[in-house]
Amino acid sequence: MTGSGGQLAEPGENFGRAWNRFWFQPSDPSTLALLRILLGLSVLAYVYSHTADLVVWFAADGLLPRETVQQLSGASATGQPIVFRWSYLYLSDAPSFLWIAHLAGLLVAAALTVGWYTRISCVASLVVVLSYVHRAPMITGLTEPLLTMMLLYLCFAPCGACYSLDAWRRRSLKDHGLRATEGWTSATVSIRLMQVHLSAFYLMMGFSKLAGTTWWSGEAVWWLGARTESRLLGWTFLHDYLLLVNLWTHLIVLFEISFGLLIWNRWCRSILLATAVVMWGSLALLTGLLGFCALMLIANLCFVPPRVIRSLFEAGFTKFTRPEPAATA
Amino acid sequence: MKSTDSTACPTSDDSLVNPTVRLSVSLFVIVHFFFVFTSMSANVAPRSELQRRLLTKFAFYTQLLNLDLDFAPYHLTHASEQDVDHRVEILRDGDTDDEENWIVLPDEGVRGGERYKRYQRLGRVMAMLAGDDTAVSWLASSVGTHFLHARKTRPQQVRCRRHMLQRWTVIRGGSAADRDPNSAGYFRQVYLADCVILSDNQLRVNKRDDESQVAQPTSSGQGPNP
Repeated sequence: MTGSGGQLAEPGENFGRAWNRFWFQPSDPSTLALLRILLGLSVLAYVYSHTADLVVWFAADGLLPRETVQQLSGASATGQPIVFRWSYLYLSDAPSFLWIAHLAGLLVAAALTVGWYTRISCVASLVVVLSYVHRAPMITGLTEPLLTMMLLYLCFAPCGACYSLDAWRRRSLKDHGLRATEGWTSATVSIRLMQVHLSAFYLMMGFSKLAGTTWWSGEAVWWLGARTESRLLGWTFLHDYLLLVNLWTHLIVLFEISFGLLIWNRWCRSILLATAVVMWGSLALLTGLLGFCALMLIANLCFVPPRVIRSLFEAGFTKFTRPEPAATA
Repeated sequence: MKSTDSTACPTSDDSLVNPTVRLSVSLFVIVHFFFVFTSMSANVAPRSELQRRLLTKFAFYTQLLNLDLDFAPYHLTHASEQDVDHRVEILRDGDTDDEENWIVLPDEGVRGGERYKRYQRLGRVMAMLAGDDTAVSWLASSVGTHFLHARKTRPQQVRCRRHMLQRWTVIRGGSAADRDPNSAGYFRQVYLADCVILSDNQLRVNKRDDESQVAQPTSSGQGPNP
């Protein structure tokens, strides 16, 4: 992407160089390794959340048998005649098959978390989550698109290069699998895909709020807190603090749009990441969307520089492996 | 597009991967994000014909990878009638007016957990399909059949109700019934069907859409746009 030529070619060359630096400059995969652990735990929690109701939802006499889902998908409001929603859970609705598939899904998620055959377990985890999503798309929520998006990009990454069983197996025990790794181009491509997609995700959330009147009028937080079967805390006391409701509502929209635009600025990044903790924590209590809010916080970690992650890991590791001082008399 | 963060290792351009790989990856990135941005923009507001056609044409990619958000409510609320809590209820037997006779879904899971939310989404889907007699009957039949075969309960009726929201003005000055968010006036029935158990132990539902047979809301303290 580095052409040569006259004066007009210079902006093109600059853009090409910037594009190459942005997407292809090798980088440390520590952030991706941390994301692998946290996303592995998220997949584990997601698959495990189906355990109690596995047969209730997916068996032949379940709430959503295969035929019903296929009928509803074929007759969707969008009128799409062909549906590309492949799932291994369509192969059979026998309880024994469902339990075996479910157990396999849990094992795959555990393998991703600890970094065991990471490349394979990462792709397999994506297949597992997509299978649950496609088996019953009508009961999926806000969490699944974010989880599948992060897993998809993790598949391209060397996320088992450190803090994993794979790394531990490759290196001597002396190195503890925590030796600083060399730069990886695939790590940069993967993390950039996550960052661009996530910032677009924030913008989509912000602008979709502005498509209605309640976020403009400042009432949205009240209506979220008024859902008595969803909220985690009683928010009725807010009727005495309508200005606070207005402020909170506007701050949510401002934060989401700001995050999508300003996260690329190094001075704003740390402020936005710190604000995100408060914002998603409060939204979890307000809406009861615990999984989604937790996953948003995890996804935000793709903007944390690898050196920060590495220093945190190594500080923690040193603390646990430092020999006890000899007892003095 | 200046790289402003410190995620990248300090290396020269010479150390980058070869141009063919760069070109291939760049093309993939551009095409991929074209679909990502198309599906995201289609989730912000009603879809244009162009967006609908693009997403239909490339559904093999966007649906398979779950990139098509398919109207997921990332706005959280617009205070519309879809943005309330929904429940599916099954009448075991006896008097329909006695709340004790109704099995309420969600009846399992911890509030805030995914398990609990899946039951709520089932109710939301049933409410959204309520206008389509064929589609809603598929769903209601599945629910009824599940109770008949798996839970050994003979369902008499299946219904879907919305739990409407309180205005803050009601809490300030409403009656005692209006101030209670769980009073009967806050529940609005959007679908009701009788269950008929056939001789081969199969279940069929007959929708009841007679106005006199569907309970109407009584409260004046409900949220907007119901």
